[in-house]
Amino acid sequence: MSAVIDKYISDITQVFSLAVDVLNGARSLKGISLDLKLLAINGIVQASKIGTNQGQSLITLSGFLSDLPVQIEPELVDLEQTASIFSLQLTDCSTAVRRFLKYSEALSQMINRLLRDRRSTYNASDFNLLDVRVLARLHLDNAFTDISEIDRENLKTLAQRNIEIIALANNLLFEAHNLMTRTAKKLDSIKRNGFIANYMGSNILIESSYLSSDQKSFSGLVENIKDIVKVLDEQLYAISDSLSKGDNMITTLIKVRN
Amino acid sequence: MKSEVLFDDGTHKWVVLGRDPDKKEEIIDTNEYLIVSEEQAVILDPGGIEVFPQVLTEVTRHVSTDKIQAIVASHQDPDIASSLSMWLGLSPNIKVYCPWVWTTFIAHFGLGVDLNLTGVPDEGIELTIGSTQNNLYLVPAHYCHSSGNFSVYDPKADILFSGDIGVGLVPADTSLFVDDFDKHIKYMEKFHLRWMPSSAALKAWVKRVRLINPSMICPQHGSIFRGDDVKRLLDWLDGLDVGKWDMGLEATDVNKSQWMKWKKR
Repeated sequence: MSAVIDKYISDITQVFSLAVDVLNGARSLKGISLDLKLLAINGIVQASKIGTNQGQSLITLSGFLSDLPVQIEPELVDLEQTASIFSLQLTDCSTAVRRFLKYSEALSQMINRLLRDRRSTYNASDFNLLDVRVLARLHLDNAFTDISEIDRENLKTLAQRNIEIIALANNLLFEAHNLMTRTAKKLDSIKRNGFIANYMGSNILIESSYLSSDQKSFSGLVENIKDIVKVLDEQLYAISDSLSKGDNMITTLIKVRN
Repeated sequence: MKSEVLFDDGTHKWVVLGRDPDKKEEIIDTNEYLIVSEEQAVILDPGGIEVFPQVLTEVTRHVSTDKIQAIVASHQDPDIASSLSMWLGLSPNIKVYCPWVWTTFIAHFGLGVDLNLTGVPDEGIELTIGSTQNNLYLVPAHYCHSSGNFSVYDPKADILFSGDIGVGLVPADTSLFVDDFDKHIKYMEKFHLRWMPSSAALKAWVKRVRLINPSMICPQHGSIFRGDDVKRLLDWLDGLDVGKWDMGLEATDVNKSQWMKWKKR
């Protein structure tokens, strides 16, 4: 098996594993969103105990905060769905590529047999079996001018199957690339909500600083908000990193075969 | 992988593929059989997905892949049927014949490809190769070892493909044909005692095959029987008391303290 094909297979496997990372990351965001909501409810409860105008403004701020997870919810659902669709597509792609691998192995062995029978100094690795143009003309190559009709037919059939699989894999990779771009946009939107949560937290801290009592519990609440947003940011960064690596590899994989 | 012609009268040919020196050590060696009759081909037990490239490479020596008309899977095991999606991916018109009881199970090997499965009824069928008169007969071999299982008889070549009956787990350098039956028994005995669940089923198969009286019996693993060794094999199978496996029952017996320990976890 040629080094080019080996690398291609290994890259596809890696992209598949990155897609699974994105899917798992997207699922974990749901937990973070719930934590944020619980904190906001906690803030409303504490503010309602104050009973002054300051208490009213803290209730309003905590109310805004508790709305954020509700706003994020559809984004998270969409993110998870998109991530599972491109994971499925990469699974199909991976299956197609494994089929390609087995046909390529057979094609390489067949080429080696034919070349060996002709005492040629070439072998299968001298042909780029990932290149559609090479595959399309393989049965007409000068190295095979005197092979039997059966061998020529078989060379043609096997090469044709691999051309079809390459086209299929290419389509799936293009679709996965588009879905990854869509996922990246969703991540940006969720990140903005995290930024707003942090901003709300800062406002709660400022408002609560005027309180004669209960200041401490609000600073604890804001600390918790900041911690959660930090976890959210880290998780978003990890997803974004997997996405970016995956997308770069997909772009390279598409280029390899064009 | 090597291929050797077992029968060839100019229009009808049997080829055995096997003894692959390059196969991974953890994979059991298998024999695949290719029948080419007036340019139409049938493959018997095409092998597992791991050996597919080697089997296909050898098949391409003998026939154009678009001439493969049918594949017979004697039963459901992965070393027999897991390559089906590769064959059907290559030639979607191939018809796959397998025991009816296994069709929905074998479909799990599809990997997104329609396996074009035809369930063979328990009593067997006659299979026509192309437009020729060289028919094949799927002979019932149920519970030898699988609950749905067929052998394949070819009257033209007078060869019987026996699947897992007569299998010998032989070393890699063993000859393709049995050359000393008595010495060969040691490669067959443990396999048959462990894998064959019913003496009645095995005896019924032997009786059927004695009537057929083939000149060659070709198993899916190990060496091929021909000449007097065909009768020797049938006699040996007839006298074999299978389905009474009790070696190691103690080892598999329920040990309450062990089970309770696991349960506590």
